[in-house]
Amino acid sequence: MENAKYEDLYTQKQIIMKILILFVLTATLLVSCKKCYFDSDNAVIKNESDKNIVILKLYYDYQKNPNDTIIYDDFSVYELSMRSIKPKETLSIIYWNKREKDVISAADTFSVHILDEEVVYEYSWKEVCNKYKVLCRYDLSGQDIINLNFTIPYPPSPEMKNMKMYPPYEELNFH
Amino acid sequence: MDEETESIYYANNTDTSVHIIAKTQYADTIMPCIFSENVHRTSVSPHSERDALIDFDFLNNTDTITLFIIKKDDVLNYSWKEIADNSMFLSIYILSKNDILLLSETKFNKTIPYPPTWKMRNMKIYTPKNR
Repeated sequence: MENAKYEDLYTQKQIIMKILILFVLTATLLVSCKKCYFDSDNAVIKNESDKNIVILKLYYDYQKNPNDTIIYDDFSVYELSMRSIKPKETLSIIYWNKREKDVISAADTFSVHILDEEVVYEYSWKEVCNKYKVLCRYDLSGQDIINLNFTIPYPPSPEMKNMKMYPPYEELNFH
Repeated sequence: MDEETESIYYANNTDTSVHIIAKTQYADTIMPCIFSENVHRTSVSPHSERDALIDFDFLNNTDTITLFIIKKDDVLNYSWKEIADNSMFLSIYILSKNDILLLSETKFNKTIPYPPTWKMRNMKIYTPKNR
């Protein structure tokens, strides 16, 4: 009888060990698999400045011309309704679904304008467009976004010094 | 189809483009911060309809939505600060969920028109004096 009890305990221990090993292996696989992140994570912009910023991202239909760096006076072409980001907060900017990946793969450039919220509030949209009142514009490749671990900071981090942006990284002079 | 999950549309029955700012939280005529999460903004071309991209989930907090209807040209040529300070609105609607349900043309279509129609005569609609 006692032997049976010990055998039960031993079997239970074996099962628990197997479950733990399986869990550790799965966790390791997920952590090391960048492609898994590529398929499931959104990319965000993180505001590392001390003021509210506004993001302009074109709806995907308008993203086909990567050389088009203007701000459109028809602001309805911008999605997110020009949502602002408070200091230290983030905003999802790319939903990493097939359609977004296709667009970025085709042009290999994802462009986003970053503006000061106060400027957008104080000036007419025409002035914002005509005088190009931007803090910054990023022209990032899909690989850039992966290299940034799906978190795109403003102001740009040192990791971004070779990435395409306007004004150039050296002129932004935050670091 | 559950009525409360259907889309809401704006209908612009005028000759000029309009821009519509929708806010919840407070049922008043104070223009909200246009960058806030509780604010949705859409432009509608003349004589056309557009999905407002809001649904009844958006209305859950207060059961009321306020719409600020502005000439799109004014949005281009004036700052938001000037628009708010000078009340440059064509019209302001404060609508309850029931008001929006009353505006259903068909079982599946809830359309909020501008200018307001006869159906809206008992709803809260304000037109600034300078308009």
